[in-house]
Amino acid sequence: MIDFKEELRKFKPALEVDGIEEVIKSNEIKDMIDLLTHITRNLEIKSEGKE
Amino acid sequence: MICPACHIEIQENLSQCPRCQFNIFLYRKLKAISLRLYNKGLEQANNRELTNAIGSLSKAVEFDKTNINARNLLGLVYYEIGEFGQALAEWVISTHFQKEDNIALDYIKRIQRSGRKLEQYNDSIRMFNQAIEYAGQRSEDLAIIQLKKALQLNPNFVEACCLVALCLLKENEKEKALPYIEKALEIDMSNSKAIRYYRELRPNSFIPRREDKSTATIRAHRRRKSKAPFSPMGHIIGFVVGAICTAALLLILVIPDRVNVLTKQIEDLDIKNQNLEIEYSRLKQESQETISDLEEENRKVLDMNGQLQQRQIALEEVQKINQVQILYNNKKIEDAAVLLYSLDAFNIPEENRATYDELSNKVFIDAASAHYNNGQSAYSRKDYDKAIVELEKSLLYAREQYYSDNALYYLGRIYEEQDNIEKAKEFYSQAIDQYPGTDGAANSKWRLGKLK
Repeated sequence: MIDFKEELRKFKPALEVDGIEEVIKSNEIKDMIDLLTHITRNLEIKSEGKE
Repeated sequence: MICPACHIEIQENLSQCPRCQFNIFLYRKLKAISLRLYNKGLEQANNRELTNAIGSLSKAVEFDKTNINARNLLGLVYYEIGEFGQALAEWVISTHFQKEDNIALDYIKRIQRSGRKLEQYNDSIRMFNQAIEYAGQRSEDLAIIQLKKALQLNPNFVEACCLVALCLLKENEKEKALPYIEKALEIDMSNSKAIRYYRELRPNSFIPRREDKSTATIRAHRRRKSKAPFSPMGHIIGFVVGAICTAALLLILVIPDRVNVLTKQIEDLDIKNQNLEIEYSRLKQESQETISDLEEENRKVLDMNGQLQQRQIALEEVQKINQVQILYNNKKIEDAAVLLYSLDAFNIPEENRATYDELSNKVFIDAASAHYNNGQSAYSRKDYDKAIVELEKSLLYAREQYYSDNALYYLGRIYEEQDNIEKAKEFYSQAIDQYPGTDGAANSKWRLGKLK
């Protein structure tokens, strides 16, 4: 049995053309490689500090 | 290769950057995962499992944001399901990472060239967003109108197809909803909403699949490529290999597939059963609530009925009081007394009680007196039956009058005349007990002494 209200909650507004720029700017695009780079740099800074 | 962290040139075979210690091994692994996800997404897109493809491709760009192919394909899949804004966003990001030799540039240019189409797509998205609001406000009819317009402008808009189907299902227009669900499944056969609605409408049917022209062409192309001339020995070997392959395929693909189908059917039946149980509980609860409501309603009606009956009786009593008043005014004292005597004092409304008391004082005393006189006359005429009735009526209406003792005495005398000695004694005794010191009591005592 389909619950209309429950189903309706699954529908989200679609992205309009006017909103594209805002979406791209607001979400700084990161990936797993960025994360790996960030970890490496942190380790580098720590080891330099020890020396 | 270039180290992605410190950007120096390093050897290909190293697993760590000698300068910044960046984990090249892990980096390659992430790139490989992203690539694998892209391949999976591509296959899913080819099979029209577009929702699944979006999932795989989104993960691919999460692992490696510079995976241009994955991002471009993700945009293309969004475009195919009518999510135009999302498609454009992915392509714009793609061109940010690779400014040249990127097909996304071509896609964007093509869209920019067809300005009217761009406007139409955007309008369709606005209409869809508006329809969500309408549906949320329980204006499903307005939502359906908006969505139908959106689909005219953007026929592949899968989410709009699903939402219009949902609104039609809400309106109980199941047959009208079906073509929209089928359309959504034709475009994206892994769309979970469309699958759910389809199962709701056609629980025993398989999900329809569309044979794409592109996939059909690829298959035809593969078939053509496989047609190569064989020698007789080759035919035999081919036959044996074919038989082995068929058996292996049966074991590997068909049997597990059949098991999967049966398992799926069992799961579906389980879900169906659970849904039926839920529905049954709901209906049971609703019925109980309805019964309780009806009982409550019935109680109220009965209460109201009782009140109305009470009111009706009170009105009748008031009418009787008025009639008594009229009879009394017309000197029909005996009739007035009969009617007044039939009144139930408890049912007389408070506002009429004073009138009732006043009438009782006048009517009963006058009637008792009249009946006493009638009884006495009848006794003189030796009409004893009439005399008994009249004297008893006199005592019924008033017992504390100056003649009440004599009424009892006369009754005793009548019964004595009729040789009903016991009855005569009873009345003499009453006169003696109830009216001591009166003439009636003295006479009764004398008569009683004679009877003993």
